[in-house]
Amino acid sequence: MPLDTVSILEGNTFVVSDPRGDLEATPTENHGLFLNDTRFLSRWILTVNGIRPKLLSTDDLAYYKVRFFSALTTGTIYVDAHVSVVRHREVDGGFHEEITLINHDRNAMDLEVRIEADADFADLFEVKDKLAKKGETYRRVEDGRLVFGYRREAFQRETVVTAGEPAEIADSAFVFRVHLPSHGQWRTRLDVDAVWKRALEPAKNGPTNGSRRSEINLDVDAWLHQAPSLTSSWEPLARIYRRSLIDLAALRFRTPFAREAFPAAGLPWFMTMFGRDSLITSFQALPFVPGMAGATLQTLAVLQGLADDAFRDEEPGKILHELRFGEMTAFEERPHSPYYGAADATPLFLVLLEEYERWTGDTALARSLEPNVRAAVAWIDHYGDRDGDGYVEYERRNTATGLENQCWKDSWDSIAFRDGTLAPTPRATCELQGYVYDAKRRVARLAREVYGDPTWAGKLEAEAEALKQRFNRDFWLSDRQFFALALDGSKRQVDSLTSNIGHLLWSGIADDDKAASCVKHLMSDALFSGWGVRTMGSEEGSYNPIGYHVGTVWPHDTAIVAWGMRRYGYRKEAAVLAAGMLEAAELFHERLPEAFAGYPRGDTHYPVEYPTACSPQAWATGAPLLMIRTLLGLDSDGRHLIIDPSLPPALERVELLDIPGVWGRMDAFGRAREPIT
Amino acid sequence: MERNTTSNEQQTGSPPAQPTLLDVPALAGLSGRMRVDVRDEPAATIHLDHGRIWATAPGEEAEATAVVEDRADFQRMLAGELNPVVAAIQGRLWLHGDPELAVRVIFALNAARPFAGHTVPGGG
Repeated sequence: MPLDTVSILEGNTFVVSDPRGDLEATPTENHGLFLNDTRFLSRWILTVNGIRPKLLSTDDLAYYKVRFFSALTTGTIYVDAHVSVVRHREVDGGFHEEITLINHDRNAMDLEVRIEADADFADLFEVKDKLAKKGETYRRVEDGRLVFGYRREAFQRETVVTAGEPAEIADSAFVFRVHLPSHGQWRTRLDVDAVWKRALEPAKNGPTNGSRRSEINLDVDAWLHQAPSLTSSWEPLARIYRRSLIDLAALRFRTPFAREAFPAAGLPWFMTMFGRDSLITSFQALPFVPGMAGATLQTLAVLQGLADDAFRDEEPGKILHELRFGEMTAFEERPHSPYYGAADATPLFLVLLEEYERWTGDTALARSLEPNVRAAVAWIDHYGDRDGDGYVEYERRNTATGLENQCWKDSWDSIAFRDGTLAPTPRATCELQGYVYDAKRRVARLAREVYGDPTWAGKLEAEAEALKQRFNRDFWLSDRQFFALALDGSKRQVDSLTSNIGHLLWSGIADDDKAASCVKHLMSDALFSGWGVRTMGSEEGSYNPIGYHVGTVWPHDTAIVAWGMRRYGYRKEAAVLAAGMLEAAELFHERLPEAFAGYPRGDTHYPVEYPTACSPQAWATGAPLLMIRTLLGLDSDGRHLIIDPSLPPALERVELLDIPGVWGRMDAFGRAREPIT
Repeated sequence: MERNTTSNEQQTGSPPAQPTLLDVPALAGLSGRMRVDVRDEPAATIHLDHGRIWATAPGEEAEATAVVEDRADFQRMLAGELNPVVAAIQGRLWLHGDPELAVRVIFALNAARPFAGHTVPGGG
């Protein structure tokens, strides 16, 4: 997000404004009130006597509320402003805004306060891709309320604006005639409600009279209270940790399709259900707020693929990629109802379930999801390995609007050879094979210990072992001494150096000697920027330090790499990665963005943000949590909490108290071996 | 997700001699009932019992309700021609009660099509 916007959010409702609080959507400014992938308000401008008040400060009170302080100025520094303007806004199924004017003058004054509004009902895809609308907009005044509407066949959305104080409604504006006595103040409340048409039911359940606010507060307090508490001699760590927990709370999202709140992927483009992002985020957050993983697993199971549907890239047993609620999805101009174009979400679903069961002891959930687990494994073997070569590969069946790349690096140019040539499809990326190996081993444990099916367990273990042997033979680049990024459609090795090799450490599929070589590459100048691991090595043909998946640093990616290094015993290297990323987090005001530039740390004093990165973004928010887990070496053996700290010198001391798990609550203490110098 | 059905099976709730067995592994453990209303008039109850599925006349409690504006829309969903999420976003389908059960049943009907070609009674 650019720094000239202010965002507040709750679940999948969010408001993006300028720092004064005005919304003025243009092709270059993505301002608006967004809910369920639709922009319900595209214009919202406050003027007093025709003048837009000058911003003094913006007070970011909480993730769902903000206060803007402005003054009515005369345009010269020699005359004091005599009117303060305070706008307090809270998001909730729309938003509520309270506008207060304070007269500091000795004389009374008469003012015209005007709020101009408009709604374009753009689908987020239309906003992002600058597309035109196909239906009709309308506007009406009804019982003192201003109603904006949009209709296309049965699809109908409305925005209803109500003022608390008497006002004229002129065109698209509320006009208040205000008499302000000397040192007096005036206040009004404006409610903006987003409505889905069926007898105009509110788009979001729950009262809009303000009572919901205290519930949210309590909810956040409870959320923070249930998480372990952290202290560290390096003070920023506690702030980063708290910011991560609060942002995760903010990103929780309720859908009509599930009972539990679920982590949405990120603001502003990804405030919806993503299989991969939600699974990774829940994995990162598991030792801290394990309930999130349970909700993620249950929700994704509900929407697990049943049909064989090329438009949605859906197949039986497949875990979804992305669910949207906007107009383009409604009219099948986009396949997100849901879209299943992810080859990794299905094995990651299995990985998270086993990790969750081992950490929490919640065998009931694992047992209830056994049919889903069996369907997911069947998908891997039948549809995932589409050509029967023993590897999962992907190729979109929806060639018009489907995703070309169905791995986490899902931009079009991410899978390229060393010389920059794009790899032909179908593509079997290396980390996919690692996830499948890990998933089968983990499901084997569940099969043996929870499902009572040792025969299946043995079969899965044998398949995993065979995959590992095959993989270490077919993906290893003997000349470059690391694993190929992928096998292309002709089974050629895609020979670029990428961060994907770090995911193989997390999964455990790499032979030990090959893992050692990969760690050297991951810590080399080509991949390690000093802040984190670049998505692509700096000497590769496609490398671009500000290329979305071909050179930027992604915090969640680096966190996974660091955790993978711990698995193979590379404690020191993992600690270096964790320290670099946590130091970057401090410089990003405790909130890591989705991605940042891959420039060497020595070239820039501060990490450079990627221009259109999402922030907060769920798996970037989760990255510090997995880093903390890495530093303290936290794991579960199914009964006990394992603590095996390895801290970089700068962090000297980290204490994490009341870690929840099958053991109840436990504390972990870590100290660096070397003192701070 | 397994759910307990009531032990007191009502007359209309008993499975027919040969309920349709859904070939959908992910629904193997699911049991429950969903009522279908056409324009707020109860039209049918769909029963799901460990992967078996059958329909009866409405008139008993159900954990979830699916409301459609137009009977033809429901027929299209049963035939796999109208995606349930598309229907919901367009304003043609509204789900109440247990969302998880409702979604799983309606997706199962849509994907496995046990009632394709059947007529949904009631409504306009």
